[in-house]
Amino acid sequence: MLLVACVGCEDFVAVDLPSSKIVSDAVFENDNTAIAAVSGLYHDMQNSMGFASGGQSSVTVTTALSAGELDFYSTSFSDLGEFQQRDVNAENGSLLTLWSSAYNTIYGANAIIEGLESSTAVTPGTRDQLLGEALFVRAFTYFYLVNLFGDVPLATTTDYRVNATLGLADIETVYAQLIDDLLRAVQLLGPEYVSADRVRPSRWTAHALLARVYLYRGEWEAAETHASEVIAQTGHYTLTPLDGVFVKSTQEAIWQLIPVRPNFNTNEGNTFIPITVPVFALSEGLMQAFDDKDSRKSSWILPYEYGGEVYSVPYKYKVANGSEITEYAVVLRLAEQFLIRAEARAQLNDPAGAIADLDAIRGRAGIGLLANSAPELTGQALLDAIERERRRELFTEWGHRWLDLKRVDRIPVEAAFYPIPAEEIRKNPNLLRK
Amino acid sequence: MNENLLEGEGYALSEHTILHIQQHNRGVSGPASTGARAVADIDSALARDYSGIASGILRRSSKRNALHAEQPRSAVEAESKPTRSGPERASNKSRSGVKDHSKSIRRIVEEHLNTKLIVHSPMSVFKGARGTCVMFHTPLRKFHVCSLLRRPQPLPWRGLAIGVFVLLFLALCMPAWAQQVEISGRVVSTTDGTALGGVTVTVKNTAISTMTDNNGQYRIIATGDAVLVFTSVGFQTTEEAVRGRREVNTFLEPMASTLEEVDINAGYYRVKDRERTGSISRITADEIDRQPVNNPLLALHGRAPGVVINQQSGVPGNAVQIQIRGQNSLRADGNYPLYIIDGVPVDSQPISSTGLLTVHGSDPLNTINPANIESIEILKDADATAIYGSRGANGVVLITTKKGRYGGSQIDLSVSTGMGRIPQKLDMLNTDQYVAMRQEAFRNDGVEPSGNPTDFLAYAPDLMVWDTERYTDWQEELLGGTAGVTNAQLSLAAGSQTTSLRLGGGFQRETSVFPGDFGYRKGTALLRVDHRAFDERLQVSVAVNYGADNNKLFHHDMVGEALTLPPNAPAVYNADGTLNWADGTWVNPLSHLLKTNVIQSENVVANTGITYRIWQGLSLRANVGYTVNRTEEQRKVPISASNPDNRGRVTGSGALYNHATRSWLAEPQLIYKRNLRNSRLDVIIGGTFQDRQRDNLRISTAGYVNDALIGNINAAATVNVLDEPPVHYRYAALFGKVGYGIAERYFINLTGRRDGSSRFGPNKRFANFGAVGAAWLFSDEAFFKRLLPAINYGKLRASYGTAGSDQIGDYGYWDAYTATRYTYQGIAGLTPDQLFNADYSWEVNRKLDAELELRFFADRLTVAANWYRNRSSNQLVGYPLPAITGFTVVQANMDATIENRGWEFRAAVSSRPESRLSWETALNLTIPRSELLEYPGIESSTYAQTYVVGEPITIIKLYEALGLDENGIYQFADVDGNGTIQTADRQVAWDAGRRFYGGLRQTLSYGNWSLDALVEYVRQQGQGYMRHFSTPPGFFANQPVQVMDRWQGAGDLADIQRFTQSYSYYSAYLNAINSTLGIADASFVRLKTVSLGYRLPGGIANRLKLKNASLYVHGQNLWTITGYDGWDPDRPGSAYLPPLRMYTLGIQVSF
Repeated sequence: MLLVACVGCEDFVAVDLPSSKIVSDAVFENDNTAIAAVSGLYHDMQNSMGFASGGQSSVTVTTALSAGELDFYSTSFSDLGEFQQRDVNAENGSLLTLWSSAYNTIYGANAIIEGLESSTAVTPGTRDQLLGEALFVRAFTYFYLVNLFGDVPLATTTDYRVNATLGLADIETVYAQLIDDLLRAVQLLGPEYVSADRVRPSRWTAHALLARVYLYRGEWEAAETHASEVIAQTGHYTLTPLDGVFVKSTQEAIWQLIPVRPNFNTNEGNTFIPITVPVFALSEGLMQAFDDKDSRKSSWILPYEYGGEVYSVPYKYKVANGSEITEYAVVLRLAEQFLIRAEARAQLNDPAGAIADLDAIRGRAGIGLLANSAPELTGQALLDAIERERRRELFTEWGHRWLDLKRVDRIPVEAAFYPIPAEEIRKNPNLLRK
Repeated sequence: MNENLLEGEGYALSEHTILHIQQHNRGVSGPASTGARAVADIDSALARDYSGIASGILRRSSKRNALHAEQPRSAVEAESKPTRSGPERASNKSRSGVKDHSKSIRRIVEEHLNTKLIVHSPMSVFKGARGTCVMFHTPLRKFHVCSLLRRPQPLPWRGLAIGVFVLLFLALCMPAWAQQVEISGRVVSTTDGTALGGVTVTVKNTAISTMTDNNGQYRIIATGDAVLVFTSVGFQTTEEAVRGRREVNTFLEPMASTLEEVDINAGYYRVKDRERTGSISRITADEIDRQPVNNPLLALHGRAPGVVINQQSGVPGNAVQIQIRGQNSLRADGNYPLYIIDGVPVDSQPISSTGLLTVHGSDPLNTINPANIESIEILKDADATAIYGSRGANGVVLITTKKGRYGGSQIDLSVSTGMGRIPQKLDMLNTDQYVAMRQEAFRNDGVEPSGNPTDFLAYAPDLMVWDTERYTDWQEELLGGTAGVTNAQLSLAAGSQTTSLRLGGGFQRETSVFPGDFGYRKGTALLRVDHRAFDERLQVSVAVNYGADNNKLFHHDMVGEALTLPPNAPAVYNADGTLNWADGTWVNPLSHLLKTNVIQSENVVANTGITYRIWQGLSLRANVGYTVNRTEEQRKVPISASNPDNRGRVTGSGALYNHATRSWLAEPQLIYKRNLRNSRLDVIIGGTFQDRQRDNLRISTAGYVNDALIGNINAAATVNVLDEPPVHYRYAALFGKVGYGIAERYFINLTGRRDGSSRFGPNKRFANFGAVGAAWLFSDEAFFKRLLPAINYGKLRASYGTAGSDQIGDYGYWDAYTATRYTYQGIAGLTPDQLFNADYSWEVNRKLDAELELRFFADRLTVAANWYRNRSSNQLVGYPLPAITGFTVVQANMDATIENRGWEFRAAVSSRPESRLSWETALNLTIPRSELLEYPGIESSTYAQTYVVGEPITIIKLYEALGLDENGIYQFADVDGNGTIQTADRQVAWDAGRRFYGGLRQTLSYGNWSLDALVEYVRQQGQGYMRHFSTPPGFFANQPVQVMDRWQGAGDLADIQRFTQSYSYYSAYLNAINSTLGIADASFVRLKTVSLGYRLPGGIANRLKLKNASLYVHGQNLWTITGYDGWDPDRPGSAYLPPLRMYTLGIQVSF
């Protein structure tokens, strides 16, 4: 009797997954679940409080501190102080979050790429779009890793047995991989957004990031070309009035992420807009960079009075929290493309073109057009003007200032790259920098 | 099965056997003082046909044992003079000493009768408490021969290795005379309904007597107005008037203490204590009932060697942590023992709760009423736990509930009431000291205190705004209340010859020491029915335990405020009775009371056991169980709990948590018992099928504009559903046990289990576990009795085997995507939530155990030493991975091995059995030691800062404190020399485990008075008082008086850092907590329980028509001796409410 009973033992203890889980193979057996997997990737980028979240351990906050855009006021100890001092300890907790959340996103992207590449069930159109999105997200993440950390391990598979012992890939190799991913993404992604409010990348999103990558690589022509591709899409993108840039239906965004936590709008809004004691405020240096006429100063910066002092806090996002979501987190936007093209053109010895692009931004900000005030600007002076404009336009957004400072060698070499978290080196000594 | 005995070839009685033959109608206490006297008695009593036989037997035996002439007397005396503890002993010995001599008896009788005996079937052989009886027919007559076998008191003379008495009762079935009739009937035990063989049935005031057979049946000739007297060792003598009946059935009540030692619940089987091969500790109702506890596990405190009970908090409902022989898994959540209630496993993982007062979750055993528990057995070694296979690694806690009774009925009512208070307070700074500390801190830092809240670096409302003369003892104010306890229990036990019933109900109420109306209520019910049918071939039992509780708490840990609120903080109430917010300078601690948290749970544990004897010793059993636990938690954070200045901006919020666990269990079993010539075989083969479903639903709501609406989900502005995935767990196993006992001296026990669990991948789903245990009762060896007659009982026991653990999350081996927490663009996302490893498998725990137990002077002194060693390997841990893999761990088995080894000692001394003042002193001592034997790659693991290879598993890594620098700031050793003090510098591996611990129990009884006290003692070091305070002395928080010994200026040799109110020295303070400065000796001796009882004298009780009545006073956590500088040495460093000092007064009546 007992023996008979136990013939069924094997079957008895095999339980099915609960309704909240799906076996990986099954995810890529059908369009809807495959789309859900990609949505999960964006969800996690926003929800993780990591590199792409806009929260305290995000690229936006940590690098704004390092770049001197933000001052940090806190009565309690925080890992963020080290970012402000540009002396980040390898044991820093925020650093680990920044790093590991990026690799978590890469894992997610790799899993989707592997799943889609081995799947035959997803319809080809959807498959191309999703694969393009995953390649784009992987490239986007590596872009930040390589710029924040320098040589980083290049994981392109989900196999932890392979990844756990990876060594550092040099910057060139990482760039080569991410450019390759972006070029593939351009091929795979369609020209139209597949969802409202630009919350999933389109072909132009890939172009926009390529423009930035080439700019950083000093490949001016390619940067100019890709930026122009995006700027030319006037049906999609226009420079909107300042109040319309950071709202969810903005015409300027090339890619946005939806805040996912209930009762919260963007983490940027939640982080920067003080409730009582201000934690972050724009530095004196940055404030002095603004002309008084600059409407970005009045529109994107909030004077906040506390304890008899006035703090200038970032106010691009105007909602700290609230159940109705009116703002999405803008990741890539048109203004940057103008600035990229301006810089590329300046480098390509086309000062007029550069000034025209720069004036597109200056005009919107209500400050004098260079075409009027300094049409003869060329060379380094023009590049300096572009850098200053980038500083004013792109402050506390996605690390622009920090990366610009490094591009122009304004940061000492030893502080240019954050250390690789010590925890990681303990677990994988191959990550030790030589 | 017993019938088989007669079929085989008989064996000769031992050379040393004495046959004592006595005339039946004289009873056991008759004047058979010498062998010669017995001969005379027998000779005159025996019928002519049989005289030859009896005297023949007697002559033979007395000839052989001429030296032992006095022995019968002492044996008879020991039996016939039951004292309080006498019956227990006698019974133990007689039972444990039983040998089956039926064959020899038969042979001898046949020899002397020179005729063939006919077995009087089917009731021919029966074994009772006192030995084996055989009923014979000769062609002419029928009679009983009983061998009453017992081991005698240790006797001084040589040659007495085995003392066996055979009593031959001849019941002559004489033809009835006119007014006499034959009366028949059956005698069963009230406790378990078993038929009692060997009960002497006497017609009162006559010489007519008989004995019951193994079905408890008897026949006797008596007149219709006679009274029958039933006597049996270990049972209370009962009289029944015939009153003209032809059938007189009766029940015998066991002596109060005889149940205690005899039978031990080993889970799938019961074993006699003396034959047990495994390490099992046992606590019975007698001890549980004397403790005013609401969770049965708390009754184990200090009573079971090798068992550490940790009451996390004095707030009722908190999960109790129990650790049996140390920590076996590296993972904190992999150390739960297995709980089995009446054969049904109950999930031992605490039910998570968010209230701060139930930090450790609520206990799944909360709704089990301690008053319904008959015994708790704790299985510790491999012999006992391997039969539980993969669930036995951390030990097994078996809870057996009380049964009904066969025959008659009894109602027990007990009511108690009492009170509890926190047992101790910390000695805190008074207002003068506090203000001085704060001022010194500001002075030290060169900062001028400010009354302006926006000066956030100098803001000091305590100095600048509040009255600096005011004093409040916040511990008294917030925790100083008296908790009221009320407990009422009513039970009915009743039954017939074949059916027993128990119906119990209990109610318990405990209020809290916190201000406000909070408390715990619990209602329980128990129904148990046992039935025997078809000549006892079928036994059915049904037990249903139901409990419901309501824990009304608030959502905040008040203890923190009680310790840290400045002594000059404002009054809690305004003159008009409203909460005083003191212009927003503080958060009124009483405002937390408005944030209510109510946890309600319901629990059912039901089981049915059916046993059917198919053929002789072969039975089929089915055990089917079902459990449900539903817990609902409702939390409310009203607007009124916030500062009035903020109320315009604040909205109310709430949360609703639902938890449900349902499980069923089916265990078919085949049981075979067979007595062979000189040995006994006991076999169980069974299977287990278990299925458990856990569901959790968590809903948090926010944005209520009115407090009255909180809890109404529709009125919330936002609703967030945290739908934790349901967890489905299944488990299947085959298990078996073979027990073999030879000559009542050598016992061997083999157990094994093959387990399958749904928590593992298809390749690793099944695993085998097994153990071998053996025991040798060397005191029964002839040579030993000669050498050391003072030792009346000596046993050597050892076991080795494996048990395992599958305590790891469910579904871990699947390569799967999980639904994201929130949606993205209205799409529920999917995300890979972990790395998967399809090949991880069970943790394995190899247990080695040995024990020597000796009893001296007729059990008056017992000593036992038990050594154990558990090695837990194949540790299931999150194998640490660099984050570049996407995650930081993957579930895997590591080559890490944890060893827990130690000694457990027990000793007990008791008074002479016949003394009027009887007492017993029992001591237990455990000396545990753990060690992480190996862990390759620990440096890069998540445990790098937790464990060290070669060190105990209980270590904490600390900074090495180097005293104060010239500025009065704590200094620490910078081990890695990198200039900063950080985690890597914590290199002092310091053992926070217990060095030794145990309990000392003293019982005293004199006349109707009884006293029972338990002292618990622990030697350990623990986190000191600093752990309770998260800010350095000088900050805006009160401190204990110890801080006055601080640095005050250059050259000071103080222990405490300078007072400061600046964050500059904050990290030095935090490091100090985690340094060698933060530890203290947390050893203690605690008078854990005292129980004083008075039993109403029988006469008064009878007049009140009561069977029994007693009054008692119980005390719990009465007194502690310790040098510990923190709050409660039992939980060093923990700042949760300590277990309360409790007094209860109660009455217990039975009628």
